[in-house]
Amino acid sequence: MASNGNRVFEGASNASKFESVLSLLARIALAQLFFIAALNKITDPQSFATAIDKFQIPGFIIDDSGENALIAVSVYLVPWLELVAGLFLLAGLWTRAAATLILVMLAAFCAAIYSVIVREIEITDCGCFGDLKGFCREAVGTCNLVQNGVLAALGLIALTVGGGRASADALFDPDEPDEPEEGDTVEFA
Amino acid sequence: MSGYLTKLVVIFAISAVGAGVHLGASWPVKLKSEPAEPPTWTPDEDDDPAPETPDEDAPSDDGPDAGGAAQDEPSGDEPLVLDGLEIDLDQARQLHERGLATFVDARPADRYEAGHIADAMHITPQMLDDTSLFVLDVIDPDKPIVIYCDGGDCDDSHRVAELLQQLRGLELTYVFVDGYPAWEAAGLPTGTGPDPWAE
Repeated sequence: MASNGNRVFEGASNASKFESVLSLLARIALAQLFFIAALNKITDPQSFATAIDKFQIPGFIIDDSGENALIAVSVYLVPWLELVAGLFLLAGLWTRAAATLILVMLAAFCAAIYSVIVREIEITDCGCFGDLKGFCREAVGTCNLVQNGVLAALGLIALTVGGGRASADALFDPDEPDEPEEGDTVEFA
Repeated sequence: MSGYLTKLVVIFAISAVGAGVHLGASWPVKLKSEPAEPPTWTPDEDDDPAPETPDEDAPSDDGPDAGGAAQDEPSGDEPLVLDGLEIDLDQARQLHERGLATFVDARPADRYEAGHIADAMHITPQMLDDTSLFVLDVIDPDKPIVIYCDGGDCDDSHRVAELLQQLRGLELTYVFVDGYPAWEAAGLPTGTGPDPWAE
């Protein structure tokens, strides 16, 4: 397997090229949004704590003393997960694992938003992007579910396609399933 | 599959380390920020504007600090002293009737337009993302600012008070904790429609 380091997958169809480009665009878009969300939360944990408190989820309500262990952990862990998973996704390193974490977070966010809709709690700011408004500028509701649905679709592209050719996975991680399977013809330029 | 799980765990572990360092640097964690308590405030003689002709049947809504808030001082009121961040209905009523304060409604626009304290401006926490917000320039920093929302668990009034303190250095910010429902239930002057100061 002589190589000058530039690998070209012979027989890669237009569709796989298309998928690679699609995955790259999805990864960049998703990572960018998660960066913004993470950095805004990391720089202002109190606003994120207040946002979580407003959802009035049992176990996630700040008491009069201003304390709640679950919220404290979430306030610091969630944005760092968003940041690190976003970084991995952008680099295309361990793409599927990073996409999985992001999809799990999005599922949790959707569940919280849905519970607010069902309980008819009015929340003016979901805290999804810290103090910044996302695409939904009204009270938390269906728009936020759609917004997260779009993000989840991007995550699903990264999960199913993997990093594609323009990714660290393609260079460093032969275990990543988007590498050619055994039996595939591989040509090294 | 085990490699996949390992990657998940590694990404999670890196995040946990980052979160742990961040948490350690922020210790002790204060989840709920409260605006600083404003200094004790009592009205000066000069603060009381000359009473204008009140129109009790039709509460006006001409804009902040407009004449509709200035009425004859009711007799029998306790001396007005604002000590602490939060004020009650009676204190808010006195401030409004004597035209001594700027009232700020921190609720969403549709709620404000459906009904608000007469002459109240509309400023939500989200609007304060724009620090060049025009309405902030017309607030008199030497007068108390009374901020309210829906009372109860509503937190937006505290948030606006905190932001006004942080962004504009407005110290005389007070939160009317009972909020608009209590004001409306007491039959005090209200207005409807959009904020005349909004652009």
